[in-house]
Amino acid sequence: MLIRPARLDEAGDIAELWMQLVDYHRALDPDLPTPEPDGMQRYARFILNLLKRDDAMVYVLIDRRGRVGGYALGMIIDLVPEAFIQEKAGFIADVYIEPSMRSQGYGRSLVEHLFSWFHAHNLTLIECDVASKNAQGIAFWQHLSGRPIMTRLRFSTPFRDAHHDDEL
Amino acid sequence: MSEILTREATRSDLNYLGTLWLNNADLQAEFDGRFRPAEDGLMRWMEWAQSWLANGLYTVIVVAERDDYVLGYAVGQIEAGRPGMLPERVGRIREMVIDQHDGEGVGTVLLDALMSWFSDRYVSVVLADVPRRASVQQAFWRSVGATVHTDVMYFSLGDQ
Repeated sequence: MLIRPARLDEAGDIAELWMQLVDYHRALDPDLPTPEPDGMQRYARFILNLLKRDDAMVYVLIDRRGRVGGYALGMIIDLVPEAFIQEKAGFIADVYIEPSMRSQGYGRSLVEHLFSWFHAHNLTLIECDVASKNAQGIAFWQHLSGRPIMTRLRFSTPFRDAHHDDEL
Repeated sequence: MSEILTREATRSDLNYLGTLWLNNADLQAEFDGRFRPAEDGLMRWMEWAQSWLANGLYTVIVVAERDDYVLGYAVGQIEAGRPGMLPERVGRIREMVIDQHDGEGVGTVLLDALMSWFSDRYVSVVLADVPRRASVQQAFWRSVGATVHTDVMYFSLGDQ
């Protein structure tokens, strides 16, 4: 197994893994967001754009057949609102490993690669979101010394028709 | 006692709202050390608040008052959802600050006003981040029907 930065031509493979990640989350909690009908294509374009930037990094896990079996996406962002003391920080947006490759330390290795990349950019504060019903995910992040600091709460407004979401 | 009323903020409110923000920011720093107001934080907040007022399509500042006395405010914003996911736009309750001396019922009234504003703009999902250690805030949000969505995890690589 090998971990290395993703290539531009792997954006589609990464988007396929992202779809698995979305399904995994939806199985845990049906209230988590659903993908758009063309969500995979949109995500592939999103990854393609990120790979051309120097404030984001995608590491991929390559299996013995040369396939992409996992990935981790990190970005440099302003986590703190404008009126507070500004500190650039790292944000881990997605981490996913195919089921057949789990429990072998690859997830941890991917994240450690991101940590090293953040550290090389002089970033010491890192954040990530994890679904509250994803007990396995929470344990994974806590094992990596993550500590839960905020709870993101969700409301539904009386308006429920997502088809009108673009009308504004 | 008179009823608590809500309205959209105007420029003339910002000086008082900024003072409320600053008092709350100092309290907030006790729960989350990352959120320390900058030395010129109040001035920066005022500048941002003016831009929020100017950007009424995507941002609202709602003020709650009783007998013309401001009791608190809340900021709601419409922002892009996660790439590839529905809904494409989500609501974010960016700030809710209540005068601690006269705050009973103010949070619920502000939240109702924000939810109406989001609903009128076809926003179906609204998110709010609450520090885990802020037990009073946690209890408030859950009592008004919020469900837990995600945990925000934090790492410090300072010792690497």
